[in-house]
Amino acid sequence: MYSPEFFLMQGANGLIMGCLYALMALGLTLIFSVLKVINFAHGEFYMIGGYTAYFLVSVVGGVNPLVGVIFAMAVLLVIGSLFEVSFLRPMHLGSVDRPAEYAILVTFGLSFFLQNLVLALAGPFPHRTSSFMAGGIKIGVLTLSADRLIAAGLSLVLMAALLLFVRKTWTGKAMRAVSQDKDAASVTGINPLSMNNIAFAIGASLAGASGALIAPIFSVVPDVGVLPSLRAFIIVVLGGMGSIKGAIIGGIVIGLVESLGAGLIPDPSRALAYRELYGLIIFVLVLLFRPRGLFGEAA
Amino acid sequence: MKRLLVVAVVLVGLVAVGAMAADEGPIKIGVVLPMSPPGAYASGNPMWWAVLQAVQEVNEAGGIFGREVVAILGDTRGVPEEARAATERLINKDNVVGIVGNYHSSCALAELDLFKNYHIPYIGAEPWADDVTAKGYDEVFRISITNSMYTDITVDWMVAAGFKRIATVHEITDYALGLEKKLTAAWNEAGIYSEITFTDVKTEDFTPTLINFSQWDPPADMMYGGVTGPGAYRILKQSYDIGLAPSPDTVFYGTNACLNPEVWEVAGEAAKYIVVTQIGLPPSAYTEVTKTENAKFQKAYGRLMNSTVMEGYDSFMLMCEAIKFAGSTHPDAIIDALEVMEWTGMRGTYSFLYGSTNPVPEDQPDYMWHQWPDVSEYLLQYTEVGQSPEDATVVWPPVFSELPEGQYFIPVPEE
Amino acid sequence: MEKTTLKKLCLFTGLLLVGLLIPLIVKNSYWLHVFAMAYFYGLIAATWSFLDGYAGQFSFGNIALVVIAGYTSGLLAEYTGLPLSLGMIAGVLAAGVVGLFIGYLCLRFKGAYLSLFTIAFAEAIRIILNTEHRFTRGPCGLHVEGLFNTTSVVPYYYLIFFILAVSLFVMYRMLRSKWGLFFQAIREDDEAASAMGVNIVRYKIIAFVVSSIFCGIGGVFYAHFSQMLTPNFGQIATMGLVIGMAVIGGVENLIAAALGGIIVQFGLEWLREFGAWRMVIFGALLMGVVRFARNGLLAPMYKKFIGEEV
Repeated sequence: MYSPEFFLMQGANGLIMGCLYALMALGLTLIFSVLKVINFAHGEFYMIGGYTAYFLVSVVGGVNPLVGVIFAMAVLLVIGSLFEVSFLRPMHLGSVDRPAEYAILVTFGLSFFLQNLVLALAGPFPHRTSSFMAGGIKIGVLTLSADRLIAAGLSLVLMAALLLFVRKTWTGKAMRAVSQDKDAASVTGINPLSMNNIAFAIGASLAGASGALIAPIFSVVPDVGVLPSLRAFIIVVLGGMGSIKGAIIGGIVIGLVESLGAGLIPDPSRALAYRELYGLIIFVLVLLFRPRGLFGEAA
Repeated sequence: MKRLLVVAVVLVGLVAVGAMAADEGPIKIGVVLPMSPPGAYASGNPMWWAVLQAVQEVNEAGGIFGREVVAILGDTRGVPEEARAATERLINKDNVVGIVGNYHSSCALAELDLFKNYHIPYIGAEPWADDVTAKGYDEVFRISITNSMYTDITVDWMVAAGFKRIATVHEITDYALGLEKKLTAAWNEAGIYSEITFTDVKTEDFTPTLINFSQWDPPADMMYGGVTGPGAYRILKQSYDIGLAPSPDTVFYGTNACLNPEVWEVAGEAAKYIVVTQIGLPPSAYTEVTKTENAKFQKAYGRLMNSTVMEGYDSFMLMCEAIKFAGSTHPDAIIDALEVMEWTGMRGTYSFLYGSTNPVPEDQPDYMWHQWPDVSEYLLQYTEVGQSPEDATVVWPPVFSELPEGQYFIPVPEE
Repeated sequence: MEKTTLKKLCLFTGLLLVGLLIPLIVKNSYWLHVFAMAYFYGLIAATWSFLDGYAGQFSFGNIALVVIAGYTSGLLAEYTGLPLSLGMIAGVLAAGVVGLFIGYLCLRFKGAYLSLFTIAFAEAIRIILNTEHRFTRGPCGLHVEGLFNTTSVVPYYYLIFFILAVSLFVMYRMLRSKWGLFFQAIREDDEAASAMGVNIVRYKIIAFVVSSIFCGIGGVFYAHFSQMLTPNFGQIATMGLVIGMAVIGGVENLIAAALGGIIVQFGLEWLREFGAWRMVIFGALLMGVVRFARNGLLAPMYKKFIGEEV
């Protein structure tokens, strides 16, 4: 039947994909935990991250792809911050009757806008930045694509950096305070509005980093963010909204489930086509038994 | 009596002036294409640019009957309901005299009833589903290939080249599903073993399935990557990265997305030695029109036209030529003109063999109604990284092939 | 008769008359087609207003229910000899049953969890309909028979107008009854409502089922009007559009939401003037309108005119 190497290959692929997914989900969960907003433009931040890296590395040229990732993160920090202050701040100033609907709608509009703007400006053809490193890397009995391995590694580094930031720095702790209790936090002198802005900007830049890391592997098109966006939602809720640990573990679970499902289910007419469904099924099952997600806070 | 005559003359004069007034103003031709997500905008956009090139040429030559020609775009977004809405708008609001285009078969099929009910001539640019012309509507013509014709030519090649075990991935889109049925039937008939794997067209990671394929023992001799759009490049790159294809054991067959320069940008050296289909004339058979228009397009847009893009130009020009030939914008006149005329465009000399004056005989398939029968298809194989499709080696059909007799593809050399 | 009731009656009668007279004035079938689709979207936007604006259940499932109803009716017509009318009823029932199921599952979810759960459900439906293409014809499109033996849009126009008017009326009556009060209590604070004796399980499920049934009616109309169904119609972006319509109209007001749907649909068609920039402008407009008319465009106008909420 299936050899152990085969399982290992599928599993390794799933793990790598999971790390990449987790980074993007992390950005989304951060935004939700601090601003209480479901960001429907998250996929477009990912897409812009990819295009920005492509622009710097391949169009301007002569730059290491890693610099492209950092540049993408910087650009998304700015875009995220500007958007938050222009469109999301009114929610937190109390002038919106229905903040939940408002946030979803305004980020939805942003998503339409960005997808089609990039299409109009950058054209319809796919693009790809050059690889971090071409070829494969042998680890024991497995041959893994170097690109993916490096991207997964960098994702882990970024996720670790975020964890450190949230746990050890003052700003990180302030953000956590706001996410737990906005009013109590403001009493202690933390400005929730600034924290919102920082959280949204960082969340956007994590999505951008994800896009910039994945762009050399999969290439970018204006609607490349649609699928990852949906997947990020699933991961975030699966892991428990607002839980960083949940986003990371949720990402890896979904990555594994997708790859193993697509590779191991014996019906070829459905195995790959239902790839996205496996994650949805796991998601539904987990939620039914743990309505707050794996690591979400209890009521 | 005299007064009656005067009144009659005046009335006729008014009607004539009225009719002339109705025939003044620009001639409007509708163009339906997927220009934005979720449609295949990477194909629709360059097809539209090709249409614009045609519009400019027609007007620089003085228009038709001295009137300006205007192309009006209807974005189908690849969604049949939107395609219907866009077509309705072109017909009933913009009052176009004819419509060309479509990339998606599902959109074309959704629009057919509108062409019939409103009696508007339509020239299909790139919808491959047999049914588009098989329905036999008077108004509907097609210059692209059909799924059946494509299957016949391509499977002929596969049989001649001796492929016996084909690993395939098909996207779940309208044309690919229709195609898959025919391919599977043809392969079964030819004794070729294949395993059909379906995929969502937006899938990014095909690796799990490709890993499965690489476990085949004996190995597959062909990897058929039936995915269009950016997926075409991804599946090629991923297939190459795990050592599946192109490899000495396994040929990679790619869709016509692999004719674009992006294949080198995204897949890199993976694209060397892949075999790709082009629906059109090989460079050795280019017409004068092919050469001049392609050069013009490359100058303006920095890329060559592939066959799909050429269809954008040809379908629009053909509609213009039909109006000129007919001497009128009346739908019946245009339809009659299309049925009898011949015109040489970028992909060959167009004519529609079967129509109302020459019905499709029993032994011919239904889709030959108003179908251009001489659609040319050839297969090419890249031999250098970064190669343009015009410099690639033509491997099929034998009449165009640049390979020695009896050889039908170039195997990947062993390392 | 009370002044507000009189005003409402005048407004509704006025709208009714306008709707009935339009096909006599507008002869162009393209515009009638746009009207018909606009009424359809108005209906779905209203069902969303019913579910979220009044009952506080922020669901993304409405379009999925439309699709389920449409496909049920279409597939029954395609594969069985069932008469059209029975197939259509089956479609509506299917939507209702699935709505019941979703409502039951969603009892344990609130806020973002409920939204994302319903998103997952909607996406799952789309993927299944697409992948089981041998049965549903997937992206090739399922051809569905029309309802009237004519190429004219006029009978469809009147049909959907009638459906919209009756549906709005029925939903309105429900909301004016004690059900409406229970819904509002649940929306504001369902735990407090439960403590006060409101059977929140029952009314949450009722809200879902009622909303689903009207989505089903819309879905069956859509299938037989557009005569081609593809799974991509049920993509999340379509649902986002519907939510946008309801919010732009005014999510807490059934009629405003419906009008929002009609206006946004016309807006989308009008934006075709802008060719390739159509969706860019739409996105920008959506952001702008939501930002600067935070409580909807139409609801405040309605409130001013009538002098009270619906």
